Amino acid sequence: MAFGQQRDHLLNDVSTVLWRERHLLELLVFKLEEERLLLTAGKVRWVNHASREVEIVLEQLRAAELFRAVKVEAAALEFGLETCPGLRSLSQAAPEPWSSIFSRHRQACLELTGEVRDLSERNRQMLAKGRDAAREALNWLTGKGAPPPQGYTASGAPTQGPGGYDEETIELGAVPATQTIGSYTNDKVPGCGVAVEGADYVTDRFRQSQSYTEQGNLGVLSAQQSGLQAVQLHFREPSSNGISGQLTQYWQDWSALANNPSDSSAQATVVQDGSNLASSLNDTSSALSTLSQQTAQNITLMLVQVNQEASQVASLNQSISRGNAPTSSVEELEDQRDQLVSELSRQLGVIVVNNPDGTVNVSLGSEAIVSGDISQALSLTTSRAAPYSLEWSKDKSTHQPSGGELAGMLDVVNEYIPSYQRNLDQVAQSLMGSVNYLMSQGYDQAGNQGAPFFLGTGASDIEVNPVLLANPADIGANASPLPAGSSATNEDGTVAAEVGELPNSQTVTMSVPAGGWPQGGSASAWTGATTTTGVEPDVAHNQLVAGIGQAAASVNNQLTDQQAITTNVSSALQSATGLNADQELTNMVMYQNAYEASAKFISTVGATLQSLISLVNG
Amino acid sequence: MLIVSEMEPDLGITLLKEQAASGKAFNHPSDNPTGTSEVLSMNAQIGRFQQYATNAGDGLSRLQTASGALNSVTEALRQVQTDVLSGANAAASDASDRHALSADVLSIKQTILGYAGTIHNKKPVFSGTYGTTPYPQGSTSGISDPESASYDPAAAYAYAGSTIPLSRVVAPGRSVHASVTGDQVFGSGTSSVFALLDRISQDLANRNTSALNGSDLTQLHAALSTVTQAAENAGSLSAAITQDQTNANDTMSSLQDQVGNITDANEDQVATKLDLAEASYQAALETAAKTIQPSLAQFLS
Repeated sequence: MAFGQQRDHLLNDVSTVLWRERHLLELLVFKLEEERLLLTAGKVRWVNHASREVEIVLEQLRAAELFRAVKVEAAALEFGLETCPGLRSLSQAAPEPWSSIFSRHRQACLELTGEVRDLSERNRQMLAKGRDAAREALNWLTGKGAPPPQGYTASGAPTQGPGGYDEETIELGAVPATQTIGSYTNDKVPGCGVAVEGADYVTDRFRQSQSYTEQGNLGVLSAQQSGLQAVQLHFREPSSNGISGQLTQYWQDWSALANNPSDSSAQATVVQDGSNLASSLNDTSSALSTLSQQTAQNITLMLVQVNQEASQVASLNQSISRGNAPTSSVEELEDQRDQLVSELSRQLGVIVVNNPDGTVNVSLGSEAIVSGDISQALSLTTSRAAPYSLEWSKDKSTHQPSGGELAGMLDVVNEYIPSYQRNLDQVAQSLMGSVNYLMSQGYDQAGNQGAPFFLGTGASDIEVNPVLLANPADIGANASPLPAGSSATNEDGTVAAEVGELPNSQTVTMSVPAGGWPQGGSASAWTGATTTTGVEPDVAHNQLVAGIGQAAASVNNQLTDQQAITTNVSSALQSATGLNADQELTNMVMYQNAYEASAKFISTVGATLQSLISLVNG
Repeated sequence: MLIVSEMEPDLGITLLKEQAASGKAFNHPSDNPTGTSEVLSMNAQIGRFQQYATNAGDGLSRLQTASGALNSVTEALRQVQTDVLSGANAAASDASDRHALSADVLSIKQTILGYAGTIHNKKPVFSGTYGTTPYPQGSTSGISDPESASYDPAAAYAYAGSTIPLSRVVAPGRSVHASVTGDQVFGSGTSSVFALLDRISQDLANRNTSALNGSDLTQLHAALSTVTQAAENAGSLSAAITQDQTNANDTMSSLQDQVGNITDANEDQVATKLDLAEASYQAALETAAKTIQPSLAQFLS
């Protein structure tokens, strides 16, 4: 009996050490997870602290290792095993209950080390990339390397460094539920078969619908962001070659003309730079239109995908409700279906309702995309202009989604781009109105009233009056004509100076004919124009750029937050549907306590018996 | 179960990298919307003040050319004064002397006409807003030879320029005169300084002592003081414009400093941050490389 008692003591010690190690591994997983979150969030500042904490846990783990080696060695000696036996051979050699305790320890440790390996590998990759990027930029700064790539490409998507960050995409939940849930509960040990599935199912569904919602929110913002980023890039601000720089140059040209009103090169410069400015406005306007068309096209393409997914969900629903799965289990079909629904929520921000028979209904607004085994198609409203909306195939009613990438893209085509187009038109109209107003008060070198400088109705069609392009001397730069019959040149330039001074005020006087300045018009265009006050062109343009910047910055911030939320919700879902480590740990602690108690009981019994026997023997 | 793409980690250095590459604290309006707006309006202002400095420079050189011409005119009129005084004196009773004096005054008139037509940057400086010689001499104008029977000072010396002086905008909403007009300096027609010189020349030739001592001298004196005054006027305008030019340049450079403060990335700061990021990554990498104890792996195998 003394023999058995000693063995129990030894094995108990080993088990305690293993518990300690498991605890430390658990802590390590936590610390690594923490480090990963910091890296994902780009909080470089805390990476140092995080890695120091990992260091500390590792230190403790090393100490525990040593301790474990000592204890296991003692046990090995006791059971006649070779030195430094593995946990497997120890568990095989040890009697029950220790054998099953050790095999569970081993399994838990293996899982934990697997997690640690995964996490640290992922962290390592991220860290290596971070370090390389920093090093590359530093080398360039110190003149030892090529300039680092700029953050954005023309498409508005963040460029990727060498190798990109693509491989960082992990597939949460790649392990089917059947293999993870119940990896312990399948065990034959009595009392281990805790019915976790019932409770877990509810949690899953709640978290899953939460995840769908957040996917939808993320979709809106990411679509808005890429749209706004693209808009922003078309404005090339702040830089000297954007519209603001061209405006400044144009006003300067007028002042130069004021200094030398009869100089043909000064006249030509005003006309030329005016032309450049007009075509920049044309280009920006048409770039916005193109962006709008492209986005509409992308919506159509995404809808094709959405419709396909919806019909797939419907057919999966059918298979699930019938419980027939030709080649795979119903759970696998559900996984497939959930993936599709998740995709749908990212694209459309759908509402998902779980039916008792395991099928789901997916709806959008008041209509169902998928109801049981029936799906409904969506299309973009056919009118080729904003505002666009989605049209149901059944009753042809329209719907404006409020979540998902499609909602974000619709925002871009229906809200953002049209409003920026309007603002850009205001810039062009203010430019036309204010310059033309002053031209109406000026006289050209021949003594005639000035012709309108700009013609057109907005940013898309503004142009310099062809009359002036052909003969720049016809610019009405002077406040009064020369006396009749004079052969002198007019050196007054007061009106040109006034045009040059326009950017000094916040508001300008504008001349506005009904229906814009007629193309190919002449001085006769003055009749019928009304005089009004408007925002100065630079100010209007500045407001436009700042507005775009503010909208983009706000969406960027929201997107960062939403990414964190979505990641959290996904992790929560993952921990619910994936390996439920907490649940298992609780169970294990419970069993451990039970075993510890029985071991105590057994050893107490043994001790009592021994004293009894010695008593008897004695 | 879900397939969730993990968010692309920013790693905290995307912005730093962009700053390092461009040397700018922000490269897109969304990086700093307020800053962008400020920079755009300040850049527009810089353009304006650059132009004011240019305008002032143009006005200044015009005025300096005018001042130079006016000083020469003053010298020439002083010479006429000397001629008048010596012609009125008894010592100059000799006919050839008187004719020499008379001819000298006529040639001075031509010199002054030349000065009146001074050109700056291909444009006459005393014609105001008209780009023409202020006192055109030629077949179509009146005859300016006092000996001629058809002598017509009213037509010959009629001022052809504008009475409005040229202006230059030198500050927001402020323009200053950058020229003096010929009519203010030389007069026009019969009351012009040229007609006066013709009369003096005649009086010298005819030895009209009373006129020489009387009205000629008085009018010459008045003409001199007009020209001197115009020169002084041009001088004070120059001084004012110089001040304006300095102001415009100062404002421009202070605006440029401000724009620089807003837009330029602090290179040292960027380098330090990058350095720090690199060190953090390196240290963490080393830790990450040894998370699994070999002994533990062996034990569990």
